Amino acid sequence: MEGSDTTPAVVCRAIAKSFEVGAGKVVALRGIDLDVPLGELMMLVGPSGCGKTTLISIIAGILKPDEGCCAVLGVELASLSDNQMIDFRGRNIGFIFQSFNLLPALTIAENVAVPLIINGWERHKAARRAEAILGEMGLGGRTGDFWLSFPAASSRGLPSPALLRMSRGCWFATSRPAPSIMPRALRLWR
Amino acid sequence: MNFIALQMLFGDRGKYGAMIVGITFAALIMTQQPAIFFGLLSRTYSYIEDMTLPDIWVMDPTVQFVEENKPLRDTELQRVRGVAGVAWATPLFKGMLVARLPDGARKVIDVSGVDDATLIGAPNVMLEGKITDLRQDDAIILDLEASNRFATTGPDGVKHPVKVGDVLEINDHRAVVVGIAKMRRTFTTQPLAFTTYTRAMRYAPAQRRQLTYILVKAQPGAALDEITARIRRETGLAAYTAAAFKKVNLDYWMKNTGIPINFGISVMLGFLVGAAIAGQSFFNFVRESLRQFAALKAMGVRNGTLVRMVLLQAAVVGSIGYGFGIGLSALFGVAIRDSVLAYYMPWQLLLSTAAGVALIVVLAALVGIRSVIRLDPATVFRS
Repeated sequence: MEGSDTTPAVVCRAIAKSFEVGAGKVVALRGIDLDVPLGELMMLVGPSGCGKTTLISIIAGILKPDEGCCAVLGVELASLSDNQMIDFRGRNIGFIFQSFNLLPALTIAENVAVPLIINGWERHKAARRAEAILGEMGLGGRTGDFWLSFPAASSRGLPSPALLRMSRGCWFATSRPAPSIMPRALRLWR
Repeated sequence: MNFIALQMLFGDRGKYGAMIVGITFAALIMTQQPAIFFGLLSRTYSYIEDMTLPDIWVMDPTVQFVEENKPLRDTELQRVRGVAGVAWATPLFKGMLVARLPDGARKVIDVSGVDDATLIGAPNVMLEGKITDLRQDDAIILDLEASNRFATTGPDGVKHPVKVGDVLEINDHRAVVVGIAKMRRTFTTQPLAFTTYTRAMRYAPAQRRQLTYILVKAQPGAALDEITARIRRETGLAAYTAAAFKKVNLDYWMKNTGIPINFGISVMLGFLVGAAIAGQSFFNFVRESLRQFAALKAMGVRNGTLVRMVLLQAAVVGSIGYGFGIGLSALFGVAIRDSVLAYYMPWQLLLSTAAGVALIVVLAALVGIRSVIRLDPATVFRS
C-alpha cells in the first residue's frame, strides 16, 4: 500500500477517453470525476458499452486517459514511467478478470500465488501463503487441483476471491465478474 | 517466473507435444540428409582411412581419386625409400580385375596387392582367417561385402556367400579364399579383395608399369609436410599425407558429380520445411498464450520478464526437440549400419543442426516476443 490511511484510494478528475473505430471516433468517457475513499467498496453499474471497463482500465493504469488525471493511493499515475506503472500495478492492484484469465497449467494454489511470485516472493513460500488463504475459504482440500478440473469452474469462479486476497494493496479493480463470485468476494471483504 | 513459464509450456500437452514433434522433425531432417551426404563423401576416402599404417601416399601426379589406377615404374619404390626422413616404403597394387565365381559368373573386383614381406596394406579387421594366411599359395582375402555379393545359389536353391576355402579365378589364375575381412564400403561400391603384391602382378594383365601406390612411413618426429615436399621434389611423383589424399578424393567427387548440389538442395529444403514447421508451432503457441501473457502483464509483469519467459520456453522446446531429432537420426544411422546406405554424423553436423534449431526457435520466439511486447494488457478485460 503506497498511501497513508487518510489518502483517498482513487481520485479521478475530468477523465476523458475515446477510441478510434474505423474512420470515426467513439467517446467512452467524458469528464469523469471520481473519489473513492480507502476502505470503501464501490461498484460501477451501467449498461454495456457505457465505459465501465474503460474507467477501471484507466484507474488500474492499463489505459492512459486522453484528458484528465487519476491518482491511486496518492500516486499520480501520469507521473509513472511504463515500468513504474507495471510495478505499481503489481504491488497495489488486484484483479478479477471478466473471464478469470487463470493459467490453466497451474494448480489453483499456484494461480492464487501468482501475484506474490510477480512481487518477488519465493515460489514455495507464495504457494504456502496461497494454500493458507484457500484454506480460510474452505478450499484447502482442492489446492492441488487444476483450475480446469474444478467442477463448473468457469461459471463459479471459486478461487477468484482468493486471488483478490493475495493482492497486497488496499483495493482492486474488476469488470463484470461472474455473479457467483460476488457473494464470496463480499464475504472476504468483510 | 521461470516456473510459470515452464508450467505454461508443459501444461498444454497438446500444443507442447506438437511443438516438440515439429522441432524434432526439423532437427531430424536437418541432420539426416547431411548425414547421408557426409556418409557418401566419407566413402570417397574410406579405403585410405582403412589403411592406418602409412603416413604418406605416393602416386602418379595425375591421380585424382584412389580407385584411379595410373601405374608407376617399380623402380620408383627404391627412389622413395632413398628420400631422407622415410622410415619405410612398401608397394601397393590396386586395380579392377575380373573374377570368375564358383558358379561360373564373372564379376569385377577391386584387387589390392600388398607388400609380400610385411603385408602392410592388408585389412585391419578379419572376420575369418588371418592376414598371414595370405602367404599360402594362391591366397586372397575377400571383404564381407564381396563375400555376400559373390554369393552363389546352391543345389538347395539357397544363396550361399563365398566362404573360406572357395576357389575363384582372377584373370584365369586360381585364387583361394583364405579369409573374410571387414572393410568400409568405398564410394564406387566395388567388392574388395586382397592378396600379395607379387600375386597381384600375376592376376593383373601384363603391363610395363604395375605399381599403383607407394605407402610411406615417416621416421618418428619427422615433419610429414617436409617429407612429402621432398618426395615430390626428388622423384617428380605426387605425394600426399593420408589426410591430404583424403581431401584429394573428396574434392574430386565433390567437383565432378552432382552430389553436393543434389544434397545441398535436399538439406536446404529440409531446413526450410523444418523451420516452417518448428517456427509455426512455436509461434502458434506464443500467439495462443498471448491472453495469459496479457493477464500477467496486467498483474504487474514487466515486458523484460515476459521476454525472458518466452525465450526460456523457446530454449526448452528447442533443446528437447533437438535432442529427440538427433536421437532419431542416430537411431536411423544405427538401423542402416552395414547396409548399402551411407550415414555419418560428425560432431560438426550436430553443432550445425543445433545452430539451425536455435535459429528457427529464436526467430519464432522473436516474432512471438514482438507480439508480447506490443500486447495491450487491456485485452484481458475483454471477453
